[in-house]
Amino acid sequence: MPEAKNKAVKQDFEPDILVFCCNWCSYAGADLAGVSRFQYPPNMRIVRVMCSGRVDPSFVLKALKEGADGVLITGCHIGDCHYISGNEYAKERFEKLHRIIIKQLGINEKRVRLEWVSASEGRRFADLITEFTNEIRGLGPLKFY
Amino acid sequence: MLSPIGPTGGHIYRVSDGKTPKTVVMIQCVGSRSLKANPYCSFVCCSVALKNAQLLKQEYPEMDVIIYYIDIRTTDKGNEEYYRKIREADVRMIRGKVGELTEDDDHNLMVRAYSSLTGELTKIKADMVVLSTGMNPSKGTMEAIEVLGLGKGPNGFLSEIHGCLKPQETKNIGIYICGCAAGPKNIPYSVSTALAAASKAAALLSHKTIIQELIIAEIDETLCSGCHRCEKVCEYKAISINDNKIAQVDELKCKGCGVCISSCPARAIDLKYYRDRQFEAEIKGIGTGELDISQKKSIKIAN
Repeated sequence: MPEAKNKAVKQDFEPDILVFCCNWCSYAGADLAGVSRFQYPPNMRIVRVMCSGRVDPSFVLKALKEGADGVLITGCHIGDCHYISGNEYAKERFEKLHRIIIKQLGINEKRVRLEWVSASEGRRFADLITEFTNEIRGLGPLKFY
Repeated sequence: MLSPIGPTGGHIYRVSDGKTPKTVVMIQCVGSRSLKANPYCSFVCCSVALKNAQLLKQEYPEMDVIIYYIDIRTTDKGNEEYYRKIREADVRMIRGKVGELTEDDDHNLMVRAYSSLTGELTKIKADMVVLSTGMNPSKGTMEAIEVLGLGKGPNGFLSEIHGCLKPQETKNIGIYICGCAAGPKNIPYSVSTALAAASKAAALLSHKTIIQELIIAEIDETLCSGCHRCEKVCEYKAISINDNKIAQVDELKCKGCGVCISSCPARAIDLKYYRDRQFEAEIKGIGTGELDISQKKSIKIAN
């Protein structure tokens, strides 16, 4: 597994975080955070999806397998989805699938999170990334045996 | 009743005994702004009640006019003037919700209410009571939602695709909503939304072609088992199961959200330009080697 790199022995652990952003709200929110020059840790990388409902459970597992220590899925607030109800499906899928699979695999469920960030919430996006990065940093690297 | 061409010719009298009322009570927010009935404000009633009170006082200066209200909301241009005039005229405004309304043998009405400003129970004998009932979606709204596949808002009215940026557009191209179809509105607001909807329709028709995003779902017919799951999750009704029990995408209706793709148990659907294997490659690229943030952070930023 690529995860077994010498990350664990490092003293100051910096987590790798993958963020799925929906094109219409969260990606625009992330953009606003950048334009407004809000500071947040550089540990995350964004994958843009058209809708949070597009995020397949396999993407999350793939990300964890490929070396991400935490995965954050962000979408529009419930009721604000550009595609009417895609985020409701994302929520349903997250609750039913992600949590169950991730629990069964023995991964701490805090490593995968679903959050709503609207296009106007640049500050919230920055705060969310900071908070999530700190949380994952506290949990330590994700190790596969 | 106040209209000169109305059924009573502009004169106010009780239909039951023909008596001209001395005391008129108006009750606002009947069935509006309540958790038991409509949770929303009906937008027009406050201004209409104030206007009617003013007309009554002009016509019958001796008449007692009492308005029970929760909050007076004189939105829109010029309506605040009604409120100012009413405050100057001899109209009693009581803030409070009416608890009970009883009728005696002489057709007189007893209005009991709690005044939330003075904190006391008020009891008023009225000759006539005017209810400002809430505005509901018309009977055909639900049918239109079902037939045309439109969105339904939380209050039962039609919902627009985006409240701020696309207030007249529905999720179906070529169907526009205006006026009270989308929620309670007064006449000027209805007219302006109607004009907006008409211009939107004209803009669409003037092109003679429809520009469609190419980000649309694509079905792998060899994998599809016709389970109907994609059909159920598609909000735009763009997917249907054909006679061969294989899902079919209506390319003009599909908006490319990709909800069907992640719900397909056979992974038979893919989204053009946002394919599964593209995402997987992207995730792999971020996760391994070259972009490992923890090891090459300083280099990354310098680049």
